Amino acid sequence: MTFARETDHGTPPALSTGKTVTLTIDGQSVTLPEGTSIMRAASLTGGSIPKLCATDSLESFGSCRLCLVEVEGRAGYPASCTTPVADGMVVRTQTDRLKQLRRGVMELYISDHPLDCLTCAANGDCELQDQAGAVGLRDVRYGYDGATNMGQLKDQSNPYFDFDPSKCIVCSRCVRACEEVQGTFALTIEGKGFDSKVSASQDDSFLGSECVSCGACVQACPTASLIEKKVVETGTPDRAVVTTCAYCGVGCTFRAEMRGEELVRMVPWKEGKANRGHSCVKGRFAWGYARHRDRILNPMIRASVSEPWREVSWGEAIAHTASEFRRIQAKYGTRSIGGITSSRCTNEETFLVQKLIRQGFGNNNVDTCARVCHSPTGYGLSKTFGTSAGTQDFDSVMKADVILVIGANPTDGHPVFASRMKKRLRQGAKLIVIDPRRTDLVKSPHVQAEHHLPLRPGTNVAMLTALAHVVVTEKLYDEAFIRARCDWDEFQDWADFVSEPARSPEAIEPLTGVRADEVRAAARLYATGGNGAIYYGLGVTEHSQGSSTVMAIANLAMATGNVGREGVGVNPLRGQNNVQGACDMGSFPHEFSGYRHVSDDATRGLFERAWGVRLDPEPGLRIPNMLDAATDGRFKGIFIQGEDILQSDPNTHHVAAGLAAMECVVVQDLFLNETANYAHIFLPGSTFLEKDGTFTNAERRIQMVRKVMAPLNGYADWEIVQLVANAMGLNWTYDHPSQIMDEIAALTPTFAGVNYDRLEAEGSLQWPANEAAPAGTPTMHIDGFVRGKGKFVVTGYVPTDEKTGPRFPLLLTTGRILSQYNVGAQTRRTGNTAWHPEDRLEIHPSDAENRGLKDGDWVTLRSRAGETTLRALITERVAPGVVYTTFHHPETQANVITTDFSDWATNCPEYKVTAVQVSASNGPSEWQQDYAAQARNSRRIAPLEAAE
Amino acid sequence: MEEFIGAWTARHGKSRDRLLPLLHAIQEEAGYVDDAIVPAIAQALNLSRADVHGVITFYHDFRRAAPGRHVVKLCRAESCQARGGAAIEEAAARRLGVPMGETRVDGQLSLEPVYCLGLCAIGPNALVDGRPVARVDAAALERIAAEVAA
Amino acid sequence: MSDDIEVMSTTGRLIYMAHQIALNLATMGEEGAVTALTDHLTSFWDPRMKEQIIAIARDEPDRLSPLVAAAVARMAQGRAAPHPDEDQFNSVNEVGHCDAG
Ligand code: SF4
Ligand code: SF4
Ligand code: SF4
Ligand code: FES
Ligand code: FES
Repeated sequence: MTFARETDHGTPPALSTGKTVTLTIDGQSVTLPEGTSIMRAASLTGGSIPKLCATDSLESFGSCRLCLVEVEGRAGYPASCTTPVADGMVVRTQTDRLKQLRRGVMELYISDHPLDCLTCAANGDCELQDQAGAVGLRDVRYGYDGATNMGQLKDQSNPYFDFDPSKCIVCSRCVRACEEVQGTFALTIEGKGFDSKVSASQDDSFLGSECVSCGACVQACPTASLIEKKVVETGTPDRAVVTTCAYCGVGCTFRAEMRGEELVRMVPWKEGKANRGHSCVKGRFAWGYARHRDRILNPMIRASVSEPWREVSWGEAIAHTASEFRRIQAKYGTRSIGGITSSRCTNEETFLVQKLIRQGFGNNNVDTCARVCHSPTGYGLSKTFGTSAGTQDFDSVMKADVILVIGANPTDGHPVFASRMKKRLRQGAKLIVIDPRRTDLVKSPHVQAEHHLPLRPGTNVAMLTALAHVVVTEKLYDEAFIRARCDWDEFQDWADFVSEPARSPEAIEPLTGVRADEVRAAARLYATGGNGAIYYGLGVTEHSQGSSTVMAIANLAMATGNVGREGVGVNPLRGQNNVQGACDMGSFPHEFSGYRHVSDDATRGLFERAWGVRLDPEPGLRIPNMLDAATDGRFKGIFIQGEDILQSDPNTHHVAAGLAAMECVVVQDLFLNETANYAHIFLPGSTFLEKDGTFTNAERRIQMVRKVMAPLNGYADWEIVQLVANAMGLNWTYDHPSQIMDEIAALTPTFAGVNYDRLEAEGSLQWPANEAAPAGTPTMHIDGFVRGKGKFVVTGYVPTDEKTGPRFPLLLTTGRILSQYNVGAQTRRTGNTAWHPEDRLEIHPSDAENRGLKDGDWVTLRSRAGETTLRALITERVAPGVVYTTFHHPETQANVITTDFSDWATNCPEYKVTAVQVSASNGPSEWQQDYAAQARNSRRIAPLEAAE
Repeated sequence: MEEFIGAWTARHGKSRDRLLPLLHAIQEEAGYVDDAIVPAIAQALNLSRADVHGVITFYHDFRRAAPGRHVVKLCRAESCQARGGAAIEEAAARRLGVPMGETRVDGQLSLEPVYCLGLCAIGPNALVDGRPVARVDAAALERIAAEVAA
Repeated sequence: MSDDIEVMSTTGRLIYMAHQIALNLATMGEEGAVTALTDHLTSFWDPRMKEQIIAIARDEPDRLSPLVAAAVARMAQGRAAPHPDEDQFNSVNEVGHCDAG
């Protein structure tokens, strides 16, 4: 693959009106959509007009005057970027007069630009340089003795990119990128005329400004003024490989730009249908962990967790793993072992791990980290609609009129999607936010929610039922839709239930703490404001009534007819990059791939024939039940791929006790994570840069992950699983992940039409992709629900048993922030720590004052499960009575606090509600100290002996 | 100042197009728009700090620091230049003890440029605390110096 | 460690879970709830959890509400059909060999 920049047509495609116009450009007749700029028209027909201030990710601006053209019958020289094509127009883009004009403009730019091209980091990758060449500029008549903007100080505060004002041509592409693409409005042009310069916030450093380091400005900059530090260090790339981000469920695709074997930068891919050329700080910049010195590259084993690790060969590690598992099964029974698949790994790897367990372990004890995040989504949406997935693609949000965000904080959790959403909001869509915290969406520059319903954590079902109450009692429901698409009798039962006065906004006000008139207004807006789209996150699922809340959301969408077309729908914002895929691939103990129950004889028969074994028809254990069974002495061995359950799962004491009771814990990961402190075998994993495969994002979009470098640890993760399987006597012969996908497609009806050739050709596919939907399925349930009739499920409000009282008067809720990722194993090992060096406890000023706390004080956070310490951050983002923290840092161990209450249907833990007390403290808790000591002890490694 | 912004937006609205009128009102009230108040302005109109900063720095009319008790503006545009403005500018800076574009350390006066007052025929021109002074020469400078000493 | 921690025994947790599910299904009326709970236990609980709750119903019936008890009884009936028992391995046998190194 050779290196070529993606083509830049200068201006974005015209908004489609369906009409076209025909014109002549340089003698060539062309027909194009109305509204296309002359610049884009010329580019699409193979020409190229010099430009500096235009780029096709931004609206045209018309400031540089380099793109002048001649239009017959028009006076002067219009800028081609701002002039739309018109019928019968005759345009000339290359004449002597134009050349002269353009050269004159370019000469002025260059007269105030350093001429150090040969030593500039962007040499060869600079539009100014290219355009100077294109207009044939050879010398500058003005000399360089006058006042210039050269020699200004660079801003190197951002960990990933530099800003060098001397090289800036004030085209304001960066300012516009920050506004139009990212929606942060962190940049401006300060001053005017000759003195004008780019300023972050109020002439702050980039790091000190509101900049969230998404990189959009760097990508938009035509010069080396904004440039990645890594390019300065390494030089410009010489090849590019398109791959998919391994952080979150948005699934941004990137061009991994390489110089030899070294990754120079990740540039968001314009063709990517999930991200449309945008990115966030994690995917764009935070990939340095792949080469971090903490990465473990040799397999290790030990007899007990109090011993140091002993590095061994792959052969020994694999054989040991297989013999331990077989030994345990011989002693304690087939069902005494199990495994956990990872939402961080590829579909193919996940599929193999569950296959290893079902085929090789001979039981269904497989679960996945989705247990702790979106299992209620799977349950709730399959009960009501018939599919365990969101209904829309991301593009759909651009057609929404009312956006209802519940328990999600997309600007931090799903930043690239949040940028799209904010763009739509700036175009005039209305926003309702249901969240205990005043998240960024509630109010940030140029975006403001119409209604914010700051409910008490744990009252989601009561709130959604109250919204439904208003919709039903005020007759705002869509009867035609319901009659056509749902079961009318079930609707009536549900309508009767929600209409009861006890479920009115007024009646539940004391529970939720939200003013009834706000709730009524929000319900009316959602039901009558045009296309209503619901987006929700873990603030919905991670509750004792997570599944009920998902069903209540589905009810509301069906009642208002907001399902089955673009601009509407029910959209879970999936956390991990491949959480959708991990669920699709049969990672749950009761389901095969494609959400088919293990007790279904036909499905099981299919797998039994393909795999040549008898399969267990009984569901296996979920993660918390595995840990319970371990504590009871009935579960003795576990294979954990790419997940840190000790840090990420609730009630750390419970997890630790369960792991400690096992005889063989195998951890396959990049780093010695917290769970590995309890492991007996460590198999080093590979990063997404080192393997081929696919991820499935929150839109059900299957996208390619491509190997850009050889695995440092020797094997891709799927190869390691295959080694274990074969050591256990299975006879797997996969040479490439594409063969695994072929097996998935053969065994899973919704994936029947998926294969690598198609993914290569089409870039991505949204499942279901099969005979019934050959092109995949961007919007689901268009002509009817997957389950037939949409099902209204009556969802009674059952308050959680986790209640505040005199001992634990505050409610703790948890979340994450933009720059860190979940347990932080990767992001903590990158420059992203510049933004979030520690977890902080957000507390309302009044609660802080009652406890005599000042901002930054160390506090003890205590629940009935345990206690930890961290520093306080006093803020009005949280309501009085509510405290909030993130869980990115192992030192904090926020999950020591969370309890083992969980969703009634899926056991998804109730992370979002824990009764706590907060008090002043002067240092780490006893558990933190003990744990730190144990972790240090447990991480000792005795290196591999030289002779093997 | 935050109360002032609150009261002002309550009267005149808080849509984003209120930025210029609000900045003028603040400048009238406080004499300048302090950088420290920019976050509050941004918050009130739901803009970013950068948005507000960009506008304040774009218009020369907005001051970012308290002006002197007196403000002397000298015209720097073409006609006044042609009539000896540059020399007068130098003389003024020397006589008044403050470089062009700055405020004297004792806070007594600011010397600022202005671009054409529409009195081109009788330049070089100045504005002393808002009052036009035509044909500025050495004698006129003395009178101005005396006036702003008070 | 502080003695604030109230530890739920694993049996206690199992009983708690069954009642929590029942509570959330209660809006379906008695018969509906029993059916739904039976269905839930059958489809989502692993065999040993099923056996454990059946044993509790037999030995300590007071610990289950009537609704949960009814569902457990019905679930137990449905389990009369044969299922692979504890130590039955599938056709893959023995400790395999490793071809990795
Ligand atoms: S990195 Fe992103 S947020 Fe920061 S200034 Fe650039 S565009 Fe704005
Ligand atoms: S930094 Fe780059 S994009 Fe921004 S104005 Fe300067 S040259 Fe243009
Ligand atoms: S939004 Fe998610 S997928 Fe996109 S770059 Fe950021 S972390 Fe990666
Ligand atoms: S590219 Fe058209 S004016 Fe700059
Ligand atoms: S140029 Fe000075 S007043 Fe017109």
